[in-house]
Amino acid sequence: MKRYIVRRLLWGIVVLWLVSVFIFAATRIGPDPVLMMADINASAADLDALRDRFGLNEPLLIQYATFVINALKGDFGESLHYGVPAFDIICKRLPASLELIVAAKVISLSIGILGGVLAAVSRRKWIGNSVRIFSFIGLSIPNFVVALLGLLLFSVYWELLPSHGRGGITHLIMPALSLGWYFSAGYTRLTHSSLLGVLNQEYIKLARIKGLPERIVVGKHALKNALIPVITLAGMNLVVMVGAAVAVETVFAWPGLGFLSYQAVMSRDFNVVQGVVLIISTMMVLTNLLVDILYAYIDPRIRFN
Amino acid sequence: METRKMKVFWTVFFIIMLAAFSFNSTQTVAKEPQGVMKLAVHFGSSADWVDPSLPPADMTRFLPLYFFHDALVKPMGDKMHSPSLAESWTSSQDFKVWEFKLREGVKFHNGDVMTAEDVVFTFQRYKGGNAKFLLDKIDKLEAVSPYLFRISFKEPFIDFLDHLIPGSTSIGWIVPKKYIEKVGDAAYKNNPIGCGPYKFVEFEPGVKLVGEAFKEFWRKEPSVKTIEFHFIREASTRFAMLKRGEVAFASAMGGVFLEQLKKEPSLRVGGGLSPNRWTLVPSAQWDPKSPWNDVRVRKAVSLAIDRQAIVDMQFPGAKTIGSIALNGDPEGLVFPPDPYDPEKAKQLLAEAGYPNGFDGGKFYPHAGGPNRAIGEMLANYMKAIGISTETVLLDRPTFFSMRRSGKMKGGVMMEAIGAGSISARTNDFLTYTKNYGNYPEIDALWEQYNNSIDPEERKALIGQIQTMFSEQVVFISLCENKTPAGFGPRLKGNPYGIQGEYPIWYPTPMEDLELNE
Repeated sequence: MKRYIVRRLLWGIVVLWLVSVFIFAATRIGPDPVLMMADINASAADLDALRDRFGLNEPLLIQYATFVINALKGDFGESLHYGVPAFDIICKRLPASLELIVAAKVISLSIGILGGVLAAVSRRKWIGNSVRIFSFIGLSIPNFVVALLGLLLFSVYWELLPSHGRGGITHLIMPALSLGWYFSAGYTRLTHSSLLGVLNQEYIKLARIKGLPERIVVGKHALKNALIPVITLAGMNLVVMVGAAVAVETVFAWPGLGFLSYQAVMSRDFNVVQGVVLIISTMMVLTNLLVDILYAYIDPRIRFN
Repeated sequence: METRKMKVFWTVFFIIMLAAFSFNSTQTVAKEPQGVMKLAVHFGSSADWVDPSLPPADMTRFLPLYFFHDALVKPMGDKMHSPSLAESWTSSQDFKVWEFKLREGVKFHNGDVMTAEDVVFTFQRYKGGNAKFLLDKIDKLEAVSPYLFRISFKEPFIDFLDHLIPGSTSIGWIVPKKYIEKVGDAAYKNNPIGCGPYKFVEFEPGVKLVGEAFKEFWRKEPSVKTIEFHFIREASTRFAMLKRGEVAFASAMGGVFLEQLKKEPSLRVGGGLSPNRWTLVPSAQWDPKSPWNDVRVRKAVSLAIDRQAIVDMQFPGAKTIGSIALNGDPEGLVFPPDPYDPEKAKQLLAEAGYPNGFDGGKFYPHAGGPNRAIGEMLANYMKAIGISTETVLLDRPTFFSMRRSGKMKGGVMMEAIGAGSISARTNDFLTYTKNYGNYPEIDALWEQYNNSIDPEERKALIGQIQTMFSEQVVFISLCENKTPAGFGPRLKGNPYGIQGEYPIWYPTPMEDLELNE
């Protein structure tokens, strides 16, 4: 077991190193980032002064070494765009992103699982059709359209919810719904198909023969097993959500990591881009490592494979 | 009788005193800064922008300076060079030595009194836009007395004042010497102290910038207690915030939002004029083999553009232009814009030998904002007279990088000319077009202009340059830049207070902003 953990840990380090190389190279492709900061007619001396300030006049290898050494100390350098330490901005934005993602995840899973179960167990055809249509709409409409519609209806016309920013629960409803709906559609379909598969299993038939009420059969025996692929997908979707949140965060001026990284890419703020990518990668590597260890603990065959 | 008289006297006396006291109290209460004004703006800010020594010269970056700081000289009201921290100034006859008489009793937010020592320190500390250009010219900085600052240059520097205004440098925005020496540069950026109308409260990168009224601001006590600038990129969000009354002001409300705003009885539509002038620069004009080399072709394109339609669509209230000088610039010449006349344009093209038009090469619309929409309109106008172009859309860094390195040759590009005086504008234009080509006659006049310290001669020389720009259609002037904005019911009056010789397109001066009761 120890060897297995050490091996996974080493792989994790290799992955992070590869990510650091990739993101460093990717942020250096394209035009000079100081052109974004400088005035349109800035002189060559002004541009050089800015490059000096951010260490851009150094050879690339030196820049990379500095980046890695500082990153290990939690220092991603100064944001070119905001003029403050990149790590500080990321830390400020992380809670907002987590709040939005957790809320959107709760909404998407609640809607998805409930819709999937209803579609699978209901004998009324219209319920199944409604759930399918709902899923189809959720998958078809981009989340920024949902966000803009929500903004227009609930904020502008009906004046029920605030239009922007982070605050109480009322601020969270629209961004979380806009982000969650898209993902709920996938969960609905997966829950539906997975539950139908499980409901045909022999042990479910046995439970029914034993006379257990249908809600116990479905809720306790079938759903538990049917949810395994749904929960796996939900876990994998966590990082996808950060990317998908860009549009929602932009529309609702939600101060999260998605919009921050988008802005950073657009303004060639490579210190922020590198910081966000490395922090998210580290979180993912650690989560995967934990899951791998848990799998290995639960199923010893995994260790030998 | 006497007692009665006394009673009446005292009664009247008390009533008068009471009235006077009440009046005075009301006045005092009314003067106190009150309320919170929230403004939704479409651009962000950097922490660098709160320190006057750091920002490049771009106009947007002066918003935090007008908020927290003050300058020796700055555009205010109708004037480009309005005395602010300097009450007055003089220069020697050879324009080598300039003296600024400072306003007495001006305080920084921490209570320190601003003196000439602070001014010297500010100049020495400057490393923002055009720092090398300006600092290389300086021979000596002196605090002659607490309220007299003297700056000596190695060469005559007749345009010095033009380099103290937005668009050139922020060297004239004064910072407190003692405080910065005590806390250091890094800490200063986190908690900037200035002598402007608002004290720094909070800066959340990409989210908001907050200031609180500085009651001892020399010009006047601000009326609003707290001002918050919220950085909101999405126009529909700004519109929703304005309509819900979450903000008193929303910037960049063009296109469909402008139409919606006009339909809302509780909202008002306004707009801030910017010093930028939109132009079209045929970068292929210096290539003898290119059709753009023929002045008739360039004139034809100028006649093919419906400037008023561009203004109506994108900059309502702005003016169409035929030259780039700002209104009221003593050295500036104003030429009328060419009329929209596609038939005459086609005729000119035919005369130039292109009756069926030609391939105009690549067209580079300016990056960002509504510029792509304007670019589409311009490409269509050229197409209408037979000049086909390949539109290349670029993001901001790529656009500037290509423009700077002369990689936009062989076609035509959009350009916003936005420095201060016509002299500064000409300098900017000639500097970056050097990578594409030059007109030796214009260069010779420009050199003569720069070597002259005779105001009359300079005026004549730069007049000739402007005339040549116009006659040779070196660039095609299009229109002013006026960003439409929405005002909520809480906002009192017009927040754009600097719309004269050097207009500023965001709500300022901040101390003049007012809320309705």
